[in-house]
Amino acid sequence: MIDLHAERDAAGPADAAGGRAAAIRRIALVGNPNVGKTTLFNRLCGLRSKTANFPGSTVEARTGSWRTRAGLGPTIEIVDLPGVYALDLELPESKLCRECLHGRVEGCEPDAIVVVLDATNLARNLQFLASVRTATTPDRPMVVAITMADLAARKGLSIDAKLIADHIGCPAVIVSGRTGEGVEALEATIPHAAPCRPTLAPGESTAAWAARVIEESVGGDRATGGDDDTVADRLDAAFTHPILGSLIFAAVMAGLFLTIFTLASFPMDAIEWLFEGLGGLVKATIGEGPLGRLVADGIVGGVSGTVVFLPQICLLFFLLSLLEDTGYLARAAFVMDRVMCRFGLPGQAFVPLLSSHACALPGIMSARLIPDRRDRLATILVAPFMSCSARVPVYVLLTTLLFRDRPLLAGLAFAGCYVLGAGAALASSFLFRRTILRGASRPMVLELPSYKLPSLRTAALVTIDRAKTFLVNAGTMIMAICVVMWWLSAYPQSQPTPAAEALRAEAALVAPTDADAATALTEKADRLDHKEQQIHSFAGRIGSAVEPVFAPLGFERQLTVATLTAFLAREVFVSTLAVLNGTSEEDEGIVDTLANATRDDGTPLLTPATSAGLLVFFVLAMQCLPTLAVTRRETGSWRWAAFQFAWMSGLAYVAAFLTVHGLGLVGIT
Amino acid sequence: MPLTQLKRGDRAIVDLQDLSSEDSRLLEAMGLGHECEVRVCRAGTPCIVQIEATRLGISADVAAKILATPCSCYPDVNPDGIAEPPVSPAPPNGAA
Repeated sequence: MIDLHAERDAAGPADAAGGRAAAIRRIALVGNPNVGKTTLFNRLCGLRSKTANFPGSTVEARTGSWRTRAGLGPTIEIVDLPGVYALDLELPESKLCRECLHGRVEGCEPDAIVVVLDATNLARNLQFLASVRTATTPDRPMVVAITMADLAARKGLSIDAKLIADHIGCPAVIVSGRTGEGVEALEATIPHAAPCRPTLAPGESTAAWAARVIEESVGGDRATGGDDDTVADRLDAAFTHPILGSLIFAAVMAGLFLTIFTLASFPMDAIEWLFEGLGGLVKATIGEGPLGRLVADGIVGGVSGTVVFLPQICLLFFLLSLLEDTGYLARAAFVMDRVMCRFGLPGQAFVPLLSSHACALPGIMSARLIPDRRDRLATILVAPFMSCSARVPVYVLLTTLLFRDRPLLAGLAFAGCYVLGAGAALASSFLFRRTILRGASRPMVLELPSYKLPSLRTAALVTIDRAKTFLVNAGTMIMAICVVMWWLSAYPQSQPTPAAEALRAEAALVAPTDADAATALTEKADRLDHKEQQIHSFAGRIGSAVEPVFAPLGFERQLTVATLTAFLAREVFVSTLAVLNGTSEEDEGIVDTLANATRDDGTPLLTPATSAGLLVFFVLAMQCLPTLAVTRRETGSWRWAAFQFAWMSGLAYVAAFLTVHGLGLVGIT
Repeated sequence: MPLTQLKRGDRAIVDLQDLSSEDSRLLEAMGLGHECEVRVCRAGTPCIVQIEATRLGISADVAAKILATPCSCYPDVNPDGIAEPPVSPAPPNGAA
């Protein structure tokens, strides 16, 4: 970082005011939401940025380094503060901006402030500038960056930055974060930053001052007003129509998730294949001993369990960023508010809840779109109720077991699982907003930004930032959990069973004549050993110990172990049951095997009542440790993650109990 | 009348006095100040109004607390967009 004295001195005496900017090492970017502030930040900093959580604040800002003069000049730290409408509001983001501009936040005190103003909305933005002036120390150097000048020109407005600068007392430049136009001018202006001194006449209001500045600085056909915009009016009429708007929203969301499901499956398969190969390579190199298994199954498996979520997360945030940039997402939130407000949630909650149908992890992370903390918390807490893709194998297995040879009923039960999950989410949010999250939300007033083409660059940078945040914060936690769970299920190691040894001996005998039969026998022997391992491992012993807890739901030892392992990840349930019953998940006969499986006392393992109870339990229970890790990360506290676990699992237990015993009362056992 | 009862295309002067001070400050910062003129882009609940270049979507509960007087009742809107209230005819007895 370099002192900018040299540039200031070179600028000459005209920069006497700017000369107070002795050493500009850190700049704060402030502005209203939707003014292109973050686009400008991304243009200046590119990949050299990170998300920052300042002490004492639950609101995020981003920091980055700006290498001026195309990387040859001094480096300036940029703090991209959250977009705010006013600095004096009692909102967390306003408070953070206020404290930062006053220099009361460690690591955030700016040497200069760049106030970003939207050229298409100067009246409101100039009043904001005046409020920034009063919210910081009077001698804090400032520069005004006027964005969206191209949009203003399309609306018939021409902006004279020099005249505006004369009215505000500090330099003003027109800049486009989207194209990079004006960035060099901004760079050249930074050393001349000067305290803002709006030319308010005595007794003049800031609104009247802003109107005067616009009258004297803005030219063009529409400079004197005209707030009608027929194109935006027509688009809004369609996008916010109660019926047409909902249909468009459904189509957009269907397209979004179809794209995510379709495109993410390829990299997800590739990641799993790669890590499987890597695990094999590790075992081949280090050996199958304890160290080899720890590295291959524990660490590589844990990393794989984290990285495999990345494609979905990246695609979701990339597409959401594009949608947000077009201005459509605000209209979608407006349409959905009609429905969501009945359950104590804002319209913006719809996207996170819908995203959770693919996977709760990106769903919870996308709750950052919700500005109000209580609304955001309620959304995060209920998002995992939505039936994610990991539940699908369990739903398929149990609905098929419940309604064998009755596909229509099985289909209805399958759909019913989705309805039950969504209903539980909405009912829970309704309850939370009236109890633990009681309190006034900020009023649902959404600014509907101008329609514009999205920026691929901004979307890519947002995606990279979210992916980094996920990997660094949640990913490390997920990996640690995976390693611990692997250890619990892998130790103590069981000896090969006599039955498995006999099968292997038989395989060795038939191998020369029938390789396929030998492979099948070996696989069967492996499954028997896995079953033994599952039963005698620490995880299996824990399962046996807690069996009495699940006994009222009709679960015996096998179901308890499978349910407990599913707390690592739901999809493990089917494979665990398959292993415990000596078959494999891929076998076509798994449904038959489980339908005929028996308990230790010889009674059926899965009766209709037990299957129904199990299904209800899986719809409602919080059985995903990575989700809990992300909840902790997004709420900043294990307290909320623990509450989420207790609420969902408690509700699941009670609902499953009522299902099993309710069916028992009508003669279905 | 409440803002929700205006029709699309109507222009009106809004009154935010029924809102809490914090809500009213937020709306003001967003561009919807007390006694400013709005154009209704989508009527009903929720509704969309435009104030100069700002377009705001307002939920039913907030819109219900915003009172609006159609601009036809306010012949004199000064250049700052601040409405001059209609002058009531003086009482016959000349009392204030």
